[in-house]
Amino acid sequence: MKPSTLLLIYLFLAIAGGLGVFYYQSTVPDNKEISNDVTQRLLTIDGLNSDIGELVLRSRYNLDPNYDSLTRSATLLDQSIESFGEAYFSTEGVSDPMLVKSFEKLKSEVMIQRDLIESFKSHNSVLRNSEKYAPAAGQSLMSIAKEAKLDDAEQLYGSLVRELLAYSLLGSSFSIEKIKVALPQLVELENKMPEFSRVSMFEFGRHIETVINEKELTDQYLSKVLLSTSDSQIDELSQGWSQWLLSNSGQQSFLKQLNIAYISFLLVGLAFVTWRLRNLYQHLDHEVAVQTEEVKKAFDELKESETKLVQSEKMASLGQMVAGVAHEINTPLGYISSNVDTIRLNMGELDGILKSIDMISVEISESKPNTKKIGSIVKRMVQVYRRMRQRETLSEIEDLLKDSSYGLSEISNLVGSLKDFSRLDRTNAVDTDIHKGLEATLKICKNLIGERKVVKSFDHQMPLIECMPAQLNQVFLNIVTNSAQATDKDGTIKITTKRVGKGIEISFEDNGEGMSANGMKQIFDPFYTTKDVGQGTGLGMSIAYKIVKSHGGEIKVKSEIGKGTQILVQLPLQQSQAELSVIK
Amino acid sequence: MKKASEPVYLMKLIKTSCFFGLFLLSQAYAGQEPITPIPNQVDVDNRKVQLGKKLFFDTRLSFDNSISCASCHDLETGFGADGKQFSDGVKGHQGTRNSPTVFNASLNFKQFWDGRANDLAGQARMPVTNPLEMGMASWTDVIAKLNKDAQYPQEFKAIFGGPISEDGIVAAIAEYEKTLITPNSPFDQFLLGNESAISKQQKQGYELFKTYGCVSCHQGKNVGGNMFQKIGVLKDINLQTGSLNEDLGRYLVTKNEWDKRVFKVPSLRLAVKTPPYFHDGSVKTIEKAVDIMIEFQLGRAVPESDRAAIISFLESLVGEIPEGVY
Repeated sequence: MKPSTLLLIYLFLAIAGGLGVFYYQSTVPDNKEISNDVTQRLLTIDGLNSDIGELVLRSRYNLDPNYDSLTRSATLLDQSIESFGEAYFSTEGVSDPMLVKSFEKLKSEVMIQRDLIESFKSHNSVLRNSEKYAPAAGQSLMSIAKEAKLDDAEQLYGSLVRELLAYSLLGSSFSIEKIKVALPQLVELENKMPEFSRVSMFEFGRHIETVINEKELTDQYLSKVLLSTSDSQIDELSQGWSQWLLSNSGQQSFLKQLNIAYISFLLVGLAFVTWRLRNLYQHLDHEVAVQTEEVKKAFDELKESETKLVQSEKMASLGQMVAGVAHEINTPLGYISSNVDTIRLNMGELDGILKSIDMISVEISESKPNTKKIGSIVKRMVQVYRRMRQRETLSEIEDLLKDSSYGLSEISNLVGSLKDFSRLDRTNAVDTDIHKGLEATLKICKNLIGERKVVKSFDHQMPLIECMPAQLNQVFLNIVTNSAQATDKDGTIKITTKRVGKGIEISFEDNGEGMSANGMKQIFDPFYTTKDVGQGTGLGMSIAYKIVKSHGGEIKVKSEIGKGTQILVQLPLQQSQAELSVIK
Repeated sequence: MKKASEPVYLMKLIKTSCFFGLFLLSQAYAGQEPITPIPNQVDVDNRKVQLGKKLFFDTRLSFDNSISCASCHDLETGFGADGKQFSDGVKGHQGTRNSPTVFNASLNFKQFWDGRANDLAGQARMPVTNPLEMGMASWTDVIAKLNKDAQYPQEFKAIFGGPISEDGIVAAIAEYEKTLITPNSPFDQFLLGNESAISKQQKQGYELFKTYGCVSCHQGKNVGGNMFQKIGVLKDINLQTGSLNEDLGRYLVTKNEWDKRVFKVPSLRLAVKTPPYFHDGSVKTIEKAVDIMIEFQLGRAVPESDRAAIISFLESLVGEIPEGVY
């Protein structure tokens, strides 16, 4: 598998893991906050529940003259349950089925209780009214019966009022039995009692019945309210919550572990990346070292090839010089050689004369000189001489020797110039007359210059300058060669020297083809050449530039296409120590 | 686990001990009056009140822009009701129960005659889309209408931090209705110790109100409004000559047999000012209403003098309408 694929998978896992942990964290509720809130809510609900029990009792026994407090607590309980449900058991709330079930149980219990309370309130009101009114009505009937002297009726009303009071206050079942027995007797009294009390009697009977019925109902509702299982439901819910929170804390610790695992996963990734980076750096260091080595090698090679090129340029210059010199030497050598041949031919006739002289001296030294023989030898000798004189052989020999002598002096001159030019004997910077160098150069280039006119405008007050003459001569040779090559056969090369401040200035001007601005810019660049391939190395002017610079001088070019080129060389009189070392 | 439930047990212990304390205390207060004064002040959010007030009087809450809350709950001349047996709805419809006064409605434990709304907001929600009342097709339509208003959208944004909503509308109206109370009635002044605030007849009427047993149900701050009661507990309501037996009341909401003909006990605070009477508005006069109550609820007959005293007591219950509520 590719490393990039692995990285992608790792990144994907890291992001997915992060999101997963985050999502899980969001599903795990904040225990402490929930615990506090739920405890608070359960306390409120429990408190209201207790309040209601108390308030119901107070209402039943007339301690509360109205239902405002009971109604308020019941409403608050409803609202508390409602908001508890909304906070924790709505669609996004707690999903624990046990908890939901026990909350639902509590809620339905409270709803049942609410209905019971309302029923209690209604019946309690009716009961309260009848409990109050029935004894009063009974007593008024008692006094009516007394006035009507109906003892039985009086007694019956009296006992009914007593039993009713006993029943309503003590709830005695004995009393209720007595009342139930007495009630039918009331109907019998209807006809005995005075007419005006009919309504009161009817009301009395109805209120007694109401007390009996309503007390039973009211007390039933009361006991149902009081025996409500809300308490135990609240306990159950509270315990359920505790358990749920405990299981939550399990989730919390799992979350903690999950976080640690995730962080470890990230750390592993980080370590891996660090390791890879370290390897990469090491590899990079190695690479750089290798590359540096290669560059150094290439540089060395370049340097070597540059040296070789410079050498070959030197060789080329030398070759050119040798060619020029050979031509210069060849001409005198030619006519000297032909002169010598002519002289040798002429020498044959002289040889005959000399032989004749020898033969005469041999005849003379004989005891008997043969005068005849001598005479014929002399005659022949004179004939030869006359013939020689006639042909001016002797003066010719004279001339030829003279001529040859001149040729030899020319050669000697040239060799001298060669010596001046190369100065092979000098390796240090020496005080030099640069005019000598210029002359030697021109002489060496004579062949190349040919018919071109060389105008020398030398400053005769020119001082000697400290330099390496052989190197400067090479500069001159390169410049003059270029000038000669750039000009027509009848062109002009003007060389001017003059002293300027602490240095000298040598100007080479020609009326040749000139060069473009681009050419001027590149003229000193190595390998820049306008000549045909094989004709020039492109190093000539570059080497000239180097040499002048190493002498602490300047070399400048001015040129115009069609008009000609001027090369200006400026050199100091003295070399500084540093520059001297460079020159060496 | 123990930790979480301990406070609950502790609380119970405290409650139980408090019960005995309160029991003793209540003995001392046994002579306490069953009716208590209406508070002078209510704690409300003024911005919501102002918004609710605008909405209360806004006829755009009805289908044809003809009816506002104030149409049936006339604050200026009707003491929070319209004096009609049944209020007029849109398209000539009429309601099926008498409109009660909106004053002191906040003191009622539940709203509507049958108590089907738990609070004021729950009440305000219903008439708007009731076809017999304001007749809007849906709350979405209401919101769309109100959104065309120049101010409502900004006001809702400022108060509720969002666009106009059903919950916001009813909450604002409910908040306004909380300010509609009638404190400082002569009887409340009397309760607070001003013996001369009510007349001798009214004092007598109050005693009769208690001895006849009216106070069994009509008690508390609102002289009623905190419980349900069946109409005709001591005498069968079918024996009444009017129509009071026709409506099954809370049974229609709960379907519990015992809720048949059970209604919320209405407040008597403004009873003398808001005829007609009972859930169907079938009784025109307060005298007749008192007669019916004493006959069918208390199982008695009432002499005219007693009745007059009771009615004069009821007159002392009428408080002051706070300034600036309409």
